[in-house]
Amino acid sequence: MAPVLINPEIPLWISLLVALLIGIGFGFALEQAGFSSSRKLAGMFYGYDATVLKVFFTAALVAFLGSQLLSFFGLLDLDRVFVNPFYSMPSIVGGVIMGLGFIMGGFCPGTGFSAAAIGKVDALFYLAGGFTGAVLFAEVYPYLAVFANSGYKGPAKINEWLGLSPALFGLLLVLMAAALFWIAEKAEKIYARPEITKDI
Amino acid sequence: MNSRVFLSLLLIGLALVLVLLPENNIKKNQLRPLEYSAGLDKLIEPMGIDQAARHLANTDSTIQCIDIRQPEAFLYCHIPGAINIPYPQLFDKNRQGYLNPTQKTNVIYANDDLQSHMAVALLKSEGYTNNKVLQGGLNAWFGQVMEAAFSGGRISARENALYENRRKAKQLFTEWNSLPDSLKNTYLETKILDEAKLDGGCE
Amino acid sequence: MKKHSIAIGTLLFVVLMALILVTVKKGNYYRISAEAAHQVTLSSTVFVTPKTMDSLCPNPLLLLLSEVSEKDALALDSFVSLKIKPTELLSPDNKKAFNKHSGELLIYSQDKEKAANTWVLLSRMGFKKLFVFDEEGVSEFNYSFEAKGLSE
Repeated sequence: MAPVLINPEIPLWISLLVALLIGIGFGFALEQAGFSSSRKLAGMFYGYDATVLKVFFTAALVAFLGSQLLSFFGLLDLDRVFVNPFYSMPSIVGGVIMGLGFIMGGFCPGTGFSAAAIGKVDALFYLAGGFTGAVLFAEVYPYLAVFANSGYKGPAKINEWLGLSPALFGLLLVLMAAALFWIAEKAEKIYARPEITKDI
Repeated sequence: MNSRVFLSLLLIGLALVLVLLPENNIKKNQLRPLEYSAGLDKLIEPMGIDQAARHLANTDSTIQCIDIRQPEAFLYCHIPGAINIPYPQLFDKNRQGYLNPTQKTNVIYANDDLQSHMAVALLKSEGYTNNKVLQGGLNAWFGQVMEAAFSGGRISARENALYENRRKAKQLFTEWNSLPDSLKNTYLETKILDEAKLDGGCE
Repeated sequence: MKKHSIAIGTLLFVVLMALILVTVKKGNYYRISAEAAHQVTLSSTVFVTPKTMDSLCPNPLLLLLSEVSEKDALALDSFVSLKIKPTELLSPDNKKAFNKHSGELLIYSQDKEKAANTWVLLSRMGFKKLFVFDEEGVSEFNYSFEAKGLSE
């Protein structure tokens, strides 16, 4: 997906600098949300901490509504924005693997980096495991290729599949998010665990 | 009020406003309405029949003819080298590549030029500016090229050149449309090769 | 942090609303896509001839982009007309006149290219009941072709 900027007259280093700044912003946001703590991350699965849901869902909503706004102002051509191609079965299998890794390791790849950045040793091992897994996957890819490319549906967008306009879909997402956050906060009270940070 | 609730309400408000807004369809290489209307007095010249005949007679590959009639009419007869994109399929995703060329100019034609003008106007509005209309369409082509006749007597050099172009184009048109479909693809290529040999160019 | 986030959020919201209002007021954006305009030409007849005038376009406001030719004057003399310079098509006065008229808008130009471009522009700006006048309409293929065997 590099270069980030489409205009070919802009030199490559500016494109890469933009990518660097975006990465810095992302790491900063992850750390300030507290995602370097694997306890906070795993809390999403055990129910006692819904921060992951709130932060990531809000980020996705801001990006969605923001891109619709930018398109309205004529600053962003939504046809040129990359849409991930959708492979149905491989997506499900990949999601299961990622969920297992997340709950066992307590990190996902991005948060693993932010945790490693603050010096956590387990994050370093986690990332080393991640690299190894990626290399292994590349080595056995020829055997997995057929499955990995099955169920290809093209760059599918949910609002197109449902037949809704993007703005209406955005509104539904926001309302769904508000409802989910309210449910999550109720769950946090039910599944609450004793606060241990002061004991350590 | 809780700041989280307040910010959520702001987001809901923003989403509501976006729903009420008309869906904007500006793509980056499109002209905005005011600029589009400002350019309405400097329109693209249609391509004349004789100019198209000259391009055809010289097997010039800088233009690409596009026939927007129905497939049956296209199969009956069409300008050699033309591709068929029926008018209802003008915005088909598979055909967009043909309609937005960088190396050639598209010459769009139908039976007359009314529908071609509409097609070119729609494509121009989408940002695809490399399209022209064949003036008069296929009816004018037949009237001027296929029924071109030399009545004898003295004619000017210009008229002579025009007639020669038309005759060559007419011959190409007749030969091409008399071929079965399987041979049409190789016809133009062999013609170009033959003419290169006559010219003495490198092979 | 809580008070600051409310303040920042409100400020951003107000700025965005202001930008949206300004953009909507200027109106310099299309209401429908080119593909949607193309669909309109497919689903209904856009070209009006003197014969179909009564059924398609009984109460038109004529938008004259050029002088009316003599042969068309007969069909079009009886209608309310508005002389328009194509480059000033979207001026506020013209837009007001288009919106005030309750019937159809009939575009006339001796230059078919100008008429087609005007139709596409106005259609994409959201005007419905928009037609183009042409004395013949879309024509059929008037010739026949004889395939000949190859000379060799």
